[in-house]
Amino acid sequence: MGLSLVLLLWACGEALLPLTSTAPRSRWESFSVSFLLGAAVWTVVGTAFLAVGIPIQFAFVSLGSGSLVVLWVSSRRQWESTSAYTTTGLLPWQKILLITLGVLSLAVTLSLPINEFDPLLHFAYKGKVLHFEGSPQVEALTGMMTQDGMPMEFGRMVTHPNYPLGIPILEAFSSFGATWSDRWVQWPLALWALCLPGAVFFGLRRYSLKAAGHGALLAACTPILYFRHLFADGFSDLQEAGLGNTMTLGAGADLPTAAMLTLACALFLRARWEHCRRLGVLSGLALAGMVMMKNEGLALLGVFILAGILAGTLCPKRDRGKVLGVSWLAIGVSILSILPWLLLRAELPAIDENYSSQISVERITHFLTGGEELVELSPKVIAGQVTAQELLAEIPARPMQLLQAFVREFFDIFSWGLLWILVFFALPWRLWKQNKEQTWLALLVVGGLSLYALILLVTPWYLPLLLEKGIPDRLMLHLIGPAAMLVGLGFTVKNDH
Amino acid sequence: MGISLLTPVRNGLFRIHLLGAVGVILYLVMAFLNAAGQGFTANRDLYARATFEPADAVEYLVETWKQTPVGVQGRVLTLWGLAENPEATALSEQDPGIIMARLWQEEGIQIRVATPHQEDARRLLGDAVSIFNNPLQAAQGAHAVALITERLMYSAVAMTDLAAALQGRMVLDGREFLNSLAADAAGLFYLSFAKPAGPPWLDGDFQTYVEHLQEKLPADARLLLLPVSRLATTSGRARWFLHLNYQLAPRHLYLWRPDLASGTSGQYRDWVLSYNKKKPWKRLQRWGPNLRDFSGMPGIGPARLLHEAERNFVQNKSITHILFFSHNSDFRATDWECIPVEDLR
Repeated sequence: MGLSLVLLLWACGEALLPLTSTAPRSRWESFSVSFLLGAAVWTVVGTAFLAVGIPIQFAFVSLGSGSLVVLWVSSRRQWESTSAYTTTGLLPWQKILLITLGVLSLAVTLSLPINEFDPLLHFAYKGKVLHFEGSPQVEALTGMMTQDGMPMEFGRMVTHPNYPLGIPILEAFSSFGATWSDRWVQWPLALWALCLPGAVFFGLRRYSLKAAGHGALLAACTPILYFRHLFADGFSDLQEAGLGNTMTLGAGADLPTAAMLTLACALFLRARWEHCRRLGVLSGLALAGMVMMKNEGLALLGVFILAGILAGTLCPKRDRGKVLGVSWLAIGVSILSILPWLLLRAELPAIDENYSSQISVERITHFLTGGEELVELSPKVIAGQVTAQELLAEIPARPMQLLQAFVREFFDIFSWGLLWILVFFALPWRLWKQNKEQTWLALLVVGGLSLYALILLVTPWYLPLLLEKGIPDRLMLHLIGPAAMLVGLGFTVKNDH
Repeated sequence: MGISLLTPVRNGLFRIHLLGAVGVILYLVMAFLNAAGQGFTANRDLYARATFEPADAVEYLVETWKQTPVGVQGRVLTLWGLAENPEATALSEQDPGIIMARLWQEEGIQIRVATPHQEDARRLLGDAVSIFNNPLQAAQGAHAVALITERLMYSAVAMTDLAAALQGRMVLDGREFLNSLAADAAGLFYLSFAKPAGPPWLDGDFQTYVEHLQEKLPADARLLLLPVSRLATTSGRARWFLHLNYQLAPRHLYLWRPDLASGTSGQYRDWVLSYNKKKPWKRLQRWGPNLRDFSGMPGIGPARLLHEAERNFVQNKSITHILFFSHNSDFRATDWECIPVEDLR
């Protein structure tokens, strides 16, 4: 069923994309963008169905049949059109490299069942609940709190009950009509790394094929798209390749968030460059898809909008006519599309990680001015190995910890290659000389990094533990698509093909 | 953007970045081959071998025995292997078994050793240590056995034979190598002192117990998980109930204060401390079923009576089974007991 779902997601996305005459693309880009778009639409609509109490089985049948019908209709339109798929201009070795990395990422993801804590307990458990019980509004997810928000004395267990349901929905759809399999529910989750470079290419091709190729290759060759800390401990790492907390591939939520943001950026750029409302709407759906994947998606949507306003892509004074309308159409659709999720989330218990309540002036001021770290939450203090005072004397203030951590990440070639160094070179330092799209991408990347720095600054957890667990790089991964596009734009001349 | 002085630098950096793809491909190929080597199944053998801290293990056993009426002095302990490396052809001062044997001797424990390196062992440990070739002979009359090196000659010993040979019933395993369920079935008390190298859901005993519960419990079973006594640790690895909750779905599993138990590490710590402060097990009689559900280990009281709030919940929620457990970061069959509610009445 998992493979069938992949085909259905592709069918949905392919049907929704404009004709190739409106949005020229190669078959590779078309497959990549279609799959990601289908995944976005299915998770957005699936969440809306669940929010109004329609069971997951009905959502699957509706979305499946709907996708096939619109594919049939759009195929007829495409056949009647005279335009066809275009070429990429990539060299043969570049094509081989992209195919090899994509196919390997797919094979490695499916080579083992889900085998990490977060993917199992935060996401696959909810997928099982949807698979077996059909709805998130059941005791399995809501049964630890009373209706007035008080904890139950006895109840069902669930970690992070109000996490977005994008991944669980895809897993439940994958096992529709079949028994649950920890391996095969990963089918739709195994294609993120394969499709992300294609989406980067699609986003930039109108600017120049060279920029598109640069961006796609840059993204595909960045180690963290697949795993972190490549050979950080030498070649002995190969003995445990594919295991542990270093994998990005698999059933986690960071890679899909990155893929959805990449798709949204690509569609947004093309919508503006092609003056295409349809692409604007699809960009909005991709943004909503990003919100369905991980909590951070909502904050990234805010950064997306803010960067647009600052760069002028969403500013009536600096951008006019159809281009501005298309841009705001994307934002409007994204906000409308996430409303069902926000309503549903309000009904789910929030037992931890309420960041909106953490981001207060007092808290930010406390940590910015060197306020004490939350050492009482340190495992060593909990275990009584050191006292809180001893630990406080050892660790620097949070701003310094964060600065060190981000600088370490920028130069961590074992995870990022030279991506961040290239981003630095591609930043449009002379803003007045750049086009609005490049400025917007730069602000999106810088804004995303600033957002995560802020989140980590006020985190209610013990920060050194989060840094040790690699939380910054997992968050920074979300920005890989716009970062690659920025480098692609910054290193090439428009329409140089 | 036009051509600038920086262009060659940027292009050079870009090419170097692309070269990194060689490492990425190598890693992905190895990840695939590693999975293929285990038949594309996730299991404990994918991970590094289990290790341990010799001094911690020594202290653990000494402290355990100090709390018993017999005490430490005069105890007999058998070590199975001394070397760090199972392929070693000689012993050295640094091998964990040598370090541990000396420390235990200093505490007044009599050491017996089964090892293929008998001459090295005699040279390093002296005549006060009895040295054998046969692991079962070495265990004869001992209070406990501790496995230091994973060799087939040790795992080949039938646990029933070991139980008959030992004077005590404790089996300590530093490599997660022995068949703990066979030890349990033979009435031996199995304890691992290895640092776990793989994730908890791949623990062999946990997986076997999950299979057992999946076979035993219908899909509509409703289980109340009850700690049988004080929660002994705030270690996150002891949250076996979360993994059971996942593995046993669609069965419904209930627990006291699930918001804390399944929350962040800080909330989980509060759960442990709150439960221990509340002491729901206090003044409730502990008992062991005559025929245990899974573990063969008799006489360790894996169940207890329920207090009023628990009884009310069982009745109101139509709970079908009680899953009693002792909170422990190592999963042991002896710590778990699943009893149908009607049997409690």
